[in-house]
Amino acid sequence: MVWIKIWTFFFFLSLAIFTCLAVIVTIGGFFNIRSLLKDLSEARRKTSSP
Amino acid sequence: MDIDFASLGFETNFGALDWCIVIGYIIIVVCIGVYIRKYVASATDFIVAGRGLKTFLAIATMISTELGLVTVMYSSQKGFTGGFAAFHIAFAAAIVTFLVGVTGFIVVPLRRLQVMTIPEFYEKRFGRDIRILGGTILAFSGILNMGMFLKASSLFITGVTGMTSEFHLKIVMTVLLFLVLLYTALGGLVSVAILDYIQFVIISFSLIFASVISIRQLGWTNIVDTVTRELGRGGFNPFDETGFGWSYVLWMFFMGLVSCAIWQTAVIRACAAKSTSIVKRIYMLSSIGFLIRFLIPYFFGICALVYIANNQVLRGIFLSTEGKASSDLSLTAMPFYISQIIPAGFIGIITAGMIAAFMSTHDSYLLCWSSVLTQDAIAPWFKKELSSKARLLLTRIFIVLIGLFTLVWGLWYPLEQDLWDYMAISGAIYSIGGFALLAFGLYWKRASRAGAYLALFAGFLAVLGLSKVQELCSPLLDPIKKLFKIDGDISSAVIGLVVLVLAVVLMIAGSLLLPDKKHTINSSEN
Repeated sequence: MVWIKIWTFFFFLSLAIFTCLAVIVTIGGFFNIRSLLKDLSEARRKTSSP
Repeated sequence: MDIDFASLGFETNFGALDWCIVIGYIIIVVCIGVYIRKYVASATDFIVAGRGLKTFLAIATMISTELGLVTVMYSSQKGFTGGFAAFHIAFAAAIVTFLVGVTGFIVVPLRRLQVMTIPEFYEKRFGRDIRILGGTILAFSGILNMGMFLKASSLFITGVTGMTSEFHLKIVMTVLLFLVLLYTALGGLVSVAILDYIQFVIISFSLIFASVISIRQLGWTNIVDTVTRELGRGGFNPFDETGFGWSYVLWMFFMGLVSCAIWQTAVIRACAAKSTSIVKRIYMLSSIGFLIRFLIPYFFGICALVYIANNQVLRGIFLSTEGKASSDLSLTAMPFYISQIIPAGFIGIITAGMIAAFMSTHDSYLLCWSSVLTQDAIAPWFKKELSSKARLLLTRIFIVLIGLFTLVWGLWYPLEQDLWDYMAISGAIYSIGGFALLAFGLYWKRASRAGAYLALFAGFLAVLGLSKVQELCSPLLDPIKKLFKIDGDISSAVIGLVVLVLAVVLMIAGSLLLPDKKHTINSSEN
């Protein structure tokens, strides 16, 4: 049945792409958090200073 | 469901080590929430993280929000009942999200307008009264939609840990609610974004790992053969009327659009992005996440079906003689399967990941609907603008009230349809009207307030898709059923599509027949 082949290909391809995305977002996200907290600290300091 | 699986010889693999992993994880995330609190200085920080989310963190937080434990639960149920054919829902979600990313449809003009909630756009485009009505419908629909979150998520934990009594379920629901309320009320989106990131890491690798284990344990050929035997052609071909059928597939494409571009929890991420180019990038990359959030849980549901169908004792419990599982049982099939197939230690990590997934989704949704109620249903009534402090307080009060509602609703409402169908149609109460207002409001200069009113009211008719409401409205619906020779309930997909067409037609007709004297804003001019 053609649908079996379609879904088999679709499933394994999606799994492979997601694995790559998970690795990239894990590394990139870590650096984004650092920068977010830095930006918010900066903004907080500015609002608290006269 | 009080079935003692242990006495039937099906002991869970969840042990003392797994409990330690789960408890340790919860302590760590609550500590992070408390620590992050010091960074929250304003309502904007609380709701949209000061509009400072960069690409990877925005992707992690968007995928995490949408890949909640409830998503895993309703998707695995669909995989269990629909087989591989359910994959079309994941496919539709990914294609539509990618296209929204390429075109920027709805989300880019919204980000450009710098609104925090969709009803805020309603006010800019159609006026304050539409904002209040739209915000109220949005909050009603959203809160109803998340009504089953707590119960479904708790069913996962009781299923995996082997605590299958009603009493255990209530305890787990209460503990989970307390944790998520504590966490959400503390930090807002800044802490939500960071928790989302941690959850993304744990859940992504857990899902990948569990998929690999499942394929190794059950075997791909065995999986395909069992689905063929149990569900026939309808288990693979989504257009086959013995399975989903054409109307359902069409409805799922619309749901794909709703999930990524109209649903407030997804749009809030677009509004929180640093720029419109980042919005587009987030959507294109998140399309993979929108695909996976459905696909892997469907696969777990299929694996649960294979595991259960090939065991006579389990078959007797989960599958009736016709081969179709009852709604309650099909929801617990996947956690039971996970408890049997994933080894001790790893099952703790997966459960911690799932609890993280629950907290991540639940806190985002609580934050989202409470901010909609504050900003759109309450604040517009005040002549003098509410202070940031007052808005924060109101948002926190609504967070607690909505949380309590999910506890009561989860215990009280009898779910008589697949959880995904309940979610889709309860969300449609808002999203159908919302689609008409956003699409026409952003791209059609002549869209008027009268059209907006009509579309919002028409969208509300989607409530008829809930099986309990159909039961209550049977005197009204029976003549229609007779006319179209429909046995049983009218499918929620058919109701959704009909209401969608009605809302669009009324939006156009209302705008043409009763145009506005002057229009407030048109984003295409920006």
